[in-house]
Amino acid sequence: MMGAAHQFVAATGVKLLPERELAIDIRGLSKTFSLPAGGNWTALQGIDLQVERGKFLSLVGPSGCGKSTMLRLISGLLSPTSGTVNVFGQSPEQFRSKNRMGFVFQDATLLPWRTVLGNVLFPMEILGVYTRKERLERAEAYLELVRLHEFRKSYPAQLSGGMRQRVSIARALADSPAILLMDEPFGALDEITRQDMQEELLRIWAETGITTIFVTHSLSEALFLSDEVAVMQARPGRITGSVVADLPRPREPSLRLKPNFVEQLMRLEAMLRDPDQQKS
Amino acid sequence: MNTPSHLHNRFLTRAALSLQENWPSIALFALGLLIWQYAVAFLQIPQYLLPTPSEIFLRIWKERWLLWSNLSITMIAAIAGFFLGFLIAVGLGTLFVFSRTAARALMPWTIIIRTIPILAIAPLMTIWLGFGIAPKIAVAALACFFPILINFYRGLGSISREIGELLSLVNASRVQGLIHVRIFAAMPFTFAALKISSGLAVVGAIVAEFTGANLGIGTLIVTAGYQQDAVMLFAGIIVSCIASVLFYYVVVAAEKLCLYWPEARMG
Repeated sequence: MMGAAHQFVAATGVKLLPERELAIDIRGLSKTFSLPAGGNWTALQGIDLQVERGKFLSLVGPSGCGKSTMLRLISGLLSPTSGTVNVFGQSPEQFRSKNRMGFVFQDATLLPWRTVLGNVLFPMEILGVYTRKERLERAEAYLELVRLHEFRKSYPAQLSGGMRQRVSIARALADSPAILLMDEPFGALDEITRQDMQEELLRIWAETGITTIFVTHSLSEALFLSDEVAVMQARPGRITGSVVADLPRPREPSLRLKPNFVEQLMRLEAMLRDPDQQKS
Repeated sequence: MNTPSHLHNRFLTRAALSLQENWPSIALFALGLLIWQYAVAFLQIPQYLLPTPSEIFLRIWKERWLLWSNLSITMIAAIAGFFLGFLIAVGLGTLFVFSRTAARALMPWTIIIRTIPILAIAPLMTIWLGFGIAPKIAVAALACFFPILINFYRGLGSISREIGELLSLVNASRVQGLIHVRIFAAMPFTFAALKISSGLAVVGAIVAEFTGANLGIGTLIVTAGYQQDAVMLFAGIIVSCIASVLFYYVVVAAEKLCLYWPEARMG
């Protein structure tokens, strides 16, 4: 049944593109907001970031460092003040007019009047993609993938926080997006649920091969999930360094206790605490 | 499964449950009527000041056809006005979502219309629309459209920033956003207003009858007032209250049908 979801992914055009292609290419990006009280707020300054197709990249940093703003710029919900954002060689808006980008919010952001299945169907119905039957098959396949198929007729209010977030992940994935953007998706969950969700996300990521940008303020979460972790600092929001995770895949839960993992975690923590001691 | 006897049993069970829940209010109501009945007799209050409940209920029974024929005319006007007000409010609210200019231009006018006392607008409506049902519908609509508009419009705008972003991410048009999201988000707000407006519509229709109508419960009440017929006044008040309460519960039933998802109902 999980194979069904895999087939959908394999059928998208993105797989046919050359192997080491840049999915996301950000150059000289700055974003300034004008404050209601007057004056400007520089949310992001001088950002350069490249992400290869199929990679899992995390953005970590303190509150107010512009992590969420980055995702909104990559998705085209916001436009840059200066610099460029390219998604598979196009502007985010261009890219989104033809392709899909999955976005997982901090809260599940489900529509309370729609059932679990209805919520997963929602983007495909609005976009008018696929036939009715295909949409249903896809929604059901991705609900299998997040292990919520038996809850497809429940309403969001009847689910736990973790289950709601899994529904929103299924919704983000259901029409095979080329890019998955996740904004602190597990921030509101308890530690055990959070770890379960991390493992589940890695399983889905491995199965779908989707390029993922994951925002979190948890260093261990970022390290456990990612190929690369970019460290950000606030005022102004900027990337001060990055660590390529030297960890085997698939990642086992026990990895979190291995000396290798802990050593890299401490390096990340040092980078976050002392921005002057940059680069890995 | 749903044999008549099955449904009958379920109805009885529900009635029993409701009695179990509501007995304090029912008991208090009955006690109040008893005290009223015997206090009037004991203190020898004349009937033209305060009739006893038994006199009022006897009168209602005696005049049931007169009351019913007049009440039904008033209620038809109230319900028609309620729907008219609802349609105007929903139309304007939707327009406001699509055009901020329209919202800015028309909102002050709706507030001005709102501040005109219903009692003052009723005679004008009679001059304009005659002595038939039309002025009653107009006043009822006027009385209930404002709360519906305010709440519907607020409900349409009640979606979170993230839901708005979700709509942008799936390239939803404004119409799609309205049909698939905003209308649903507005429903709990709208029904809260509709419950208030059901009562306002009845009051509006009755007030319109005060200033010029040949039929209707408002006409009966005014006539009873001229004749200092306190029993008839009470009878009119009581039957219009009962009608209002029934109308309110029809709206509540519609709310239960429309707000089918959990945690949708407010207050």
